[in-house]
Amino acid sequence: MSCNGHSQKLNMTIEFLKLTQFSGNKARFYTVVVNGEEESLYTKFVKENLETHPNELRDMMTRMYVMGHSQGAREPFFKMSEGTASDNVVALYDRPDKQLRLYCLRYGNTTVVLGGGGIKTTRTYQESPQLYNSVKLLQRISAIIDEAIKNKDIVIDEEGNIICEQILDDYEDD
Amino acid sequence: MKTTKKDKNINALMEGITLINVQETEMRMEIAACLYDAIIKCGMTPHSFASRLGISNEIIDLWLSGTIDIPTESLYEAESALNTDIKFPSSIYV
Repeated sequence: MSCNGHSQKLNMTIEFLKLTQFSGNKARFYTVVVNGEEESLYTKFVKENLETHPNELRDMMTRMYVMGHSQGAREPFFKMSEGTASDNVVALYDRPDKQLRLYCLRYGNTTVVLGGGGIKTTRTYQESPQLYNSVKLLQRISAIIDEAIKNKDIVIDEEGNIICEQILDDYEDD
Repeated sequence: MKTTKKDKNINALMEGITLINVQETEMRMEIAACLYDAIIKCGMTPHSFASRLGISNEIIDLWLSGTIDIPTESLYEAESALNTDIKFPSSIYV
């Protein structure tokens, strides 16, 4: 295992990418690439919603930047228990008149792993196939991370850094 | 560790965020954090505090999310209900 997590049981490999754009001394933000795909979950989320919801994306980014640099990833800034009680799936709160939902995994006030999401037009996320699938995928990723932490393959340090054995080169977007 | 510092879409959106956007967002989130800390310090949960204040759980969750401007009047009511001086950022008193 490098800076990755793999679960044979769940048949999935994940690789962490650090989001330097939001990370600061109060909280670190990451996203994941699943099964060696070209794009991370968050990159896909941004791309999918860029044309229709740029302002909402920007609002979320501003909030994440503030969390990273001054407030930390405090509990009330997230809608908790979006998955089950045993996982770390939460949703990033946006203004009530906004419909874009971004799901993430939160580890204390210092580490957030961003997943995907989409437009919430139904009362619950379970009623929307896209949102439901985003939450289910994050639940599986949460299980992989939990297992890797238990096996000491991944360590989250006091500052919120996800520490793995291998350091890889920067991600080239194009 | 790989990073996404070269992601064009993220960077383009980030470039559209102004200092004013950041300062306003930070203020909202800091006020929410101060209120949350005060509630916890008083041995309550946000929802038990909502009940004491006579507001819904949805409203207190919204206040504490840091996504909206909480009316100053409501902040005074909250402070009074907690019977404590909350150390809000000084600029809200201007």
